Amino acid sequence: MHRALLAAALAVILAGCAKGGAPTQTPDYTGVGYVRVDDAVRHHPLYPQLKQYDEEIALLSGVGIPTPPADPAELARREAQLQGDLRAAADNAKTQLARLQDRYEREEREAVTAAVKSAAQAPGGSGGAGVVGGVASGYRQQAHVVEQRAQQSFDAYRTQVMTQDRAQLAAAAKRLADEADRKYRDRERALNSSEAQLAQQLAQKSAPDRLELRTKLQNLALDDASRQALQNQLHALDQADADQVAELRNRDQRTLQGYQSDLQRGMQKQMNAYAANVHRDTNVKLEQRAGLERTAVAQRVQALAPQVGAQLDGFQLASLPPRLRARIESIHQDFLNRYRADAQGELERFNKTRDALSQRYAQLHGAAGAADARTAKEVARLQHDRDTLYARIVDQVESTARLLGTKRGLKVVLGGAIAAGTGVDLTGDVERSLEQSHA
Amino acid sequence: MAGVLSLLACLIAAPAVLGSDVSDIGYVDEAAIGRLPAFEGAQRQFNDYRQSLEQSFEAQLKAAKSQADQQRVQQDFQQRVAQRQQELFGPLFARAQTAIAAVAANRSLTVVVDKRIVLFGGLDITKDVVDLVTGPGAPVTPVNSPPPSSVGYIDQEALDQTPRIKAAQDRFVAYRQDEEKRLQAQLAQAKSDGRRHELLAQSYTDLDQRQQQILGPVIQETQNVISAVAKKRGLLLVLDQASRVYGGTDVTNDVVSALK
Repeated sequence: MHRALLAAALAVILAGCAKGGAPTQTPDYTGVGYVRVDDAVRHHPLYPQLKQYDEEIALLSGVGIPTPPADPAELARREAQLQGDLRAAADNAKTQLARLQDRYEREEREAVTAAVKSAAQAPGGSGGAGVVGGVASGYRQQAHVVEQRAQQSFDAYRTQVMTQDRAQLAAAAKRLADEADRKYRDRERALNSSEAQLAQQLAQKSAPDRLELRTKLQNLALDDASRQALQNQLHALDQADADQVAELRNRDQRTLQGYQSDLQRGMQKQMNAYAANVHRDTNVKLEQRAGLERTAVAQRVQALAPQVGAQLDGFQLASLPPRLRARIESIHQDFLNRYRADAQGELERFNKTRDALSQRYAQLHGAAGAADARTAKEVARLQHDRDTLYARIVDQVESTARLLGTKRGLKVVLGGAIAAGTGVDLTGDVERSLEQSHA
Repeated sequence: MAGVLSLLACLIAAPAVLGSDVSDIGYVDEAAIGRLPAFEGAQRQFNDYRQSLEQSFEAQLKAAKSQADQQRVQQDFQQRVAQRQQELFGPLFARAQTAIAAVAANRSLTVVVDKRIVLFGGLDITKDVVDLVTGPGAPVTPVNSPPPSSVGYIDQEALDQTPRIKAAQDRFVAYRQDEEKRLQAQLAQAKSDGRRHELLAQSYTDLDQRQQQILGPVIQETQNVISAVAKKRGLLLVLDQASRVYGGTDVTNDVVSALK
């Protein structure tokens, strides 16, 4: 009876021991389990999404690298090209205006001459037409001077703003480069310090051995072979220390190279963002100035009209016969209207040219900067989403490991294992559980 | 009959005996210790010192006439910074480490790990350690070294220096550098962001695949070796050295030897 009871008890205990084991792992009687979090994250159902984030971030960050605005030489070359194009466009506009003015002057003179002739009261031959034509020509010249001065003023302003722009960018580039250089040197110093510390530690560690060897070497009774052997050992100690330091130094060099690349990328990104801001401000300033000058030119050209009237009055129009005077005044009014229309057309062309300058300048600087700013914003958003997702995945891995560990009666569960031992590895079960919960 | 009874006794006792090692794992919140006023004060002093030193050394660097002079200035700077760091933090770290050792000995812990890796269980000794660190007297170093632990740890940096891993890493770094050069050349010729995007995507995919090809087998083999060593030595698991604060069983040399 006793034997039967013992056998039954033994069977129950053995069955219990066998059942207590994990489906895939060693038995959990140790009470300690662990999960390899990195592996579990890689097998998480949402991991492809995480990887997708990483790729998108890498791609967006990478696309921004070769953008040109941070290269001052390239920027200056493209600006010079733009200035040349705009100058050519402005010259062309002036030529067109001069051609129009010649035609208009000729037509006006002919009209006045015809009017005087038809009245058969030509005051001093073609003098009336000459007076009116001269006044008209003077008016056009004055208006043209107003436009030219406006353009010159705008050109000077633009040059001044662009010079400031370049100076600001150069200063920022220098500041960022200095900062990156300082960080690099800091890291370099830290690594050099570690190397020096390692060398010191190694020297201290091997000091007793060295002392012993040197003490032995001081023994005058040593034969040559023994002395050589001791010297070889001493040399081997030095060599071993030097090798370790050299290994660390090589690794530090690689670290520094990687760090330098990171710093350069960071500097480029900051420079692009800064350039975008500077160019945006510059474009706003140029646009404001252009608007002010458009208004000023229009006002000045309009202001010339009464002067023309006064000049015509000064030539004793009042003494002319009423019909001829009315006719000449009518021609004069027609001249004014047509000239205003011409002037307006020329102003519009002038404005178009200037708008083209602003637009192309914006394309050269601001648009790329704005795109960079947009990219940086997008990268920041993706990074935030990626971090949130990663935290969520890790949280799920850890809480699942806690749950499984509790169910299996474990007393301790750790999350930092890098390799399996005889403890209960929950990694596979965590992965399966998460797969099922996301299925 | 007596034999059967003793076998039964052993079997009944086995889970309890083997499970008793559960209570020898402790953990400490290192961040909480780093936030203690003494540590924060030392950090502030160190930052101030470094900042003031940097200014004078910047001037010296600029004035240096040769590369040798620059190196000498830099070395001087590093030495002073390291010395100051040692002066400020050395006693604090030593005090904290002694406090952790004292608490661990008092609580019969064989290993103390960082709180961040503990999912549940274990003994939190943070408060005891903080009390000792901030207490009036100096913590007393335990007489005995910690008993053998069933939790192993490894110095991954030492593993990185083993010939096989190092060779694989160097091979991948060389490949990546070549790939970066090739990519930069292609990017410089690309005429649109779309094309750049394409080139970058292709390059990242290639690098990813190459990394798997070159490093994947080495990583797997290393993990297998660590596991084999752990099982041979009866360890429950192996942690990264960075996660271990005190005690534990160092298996670095065993693994390095096995990998050679």
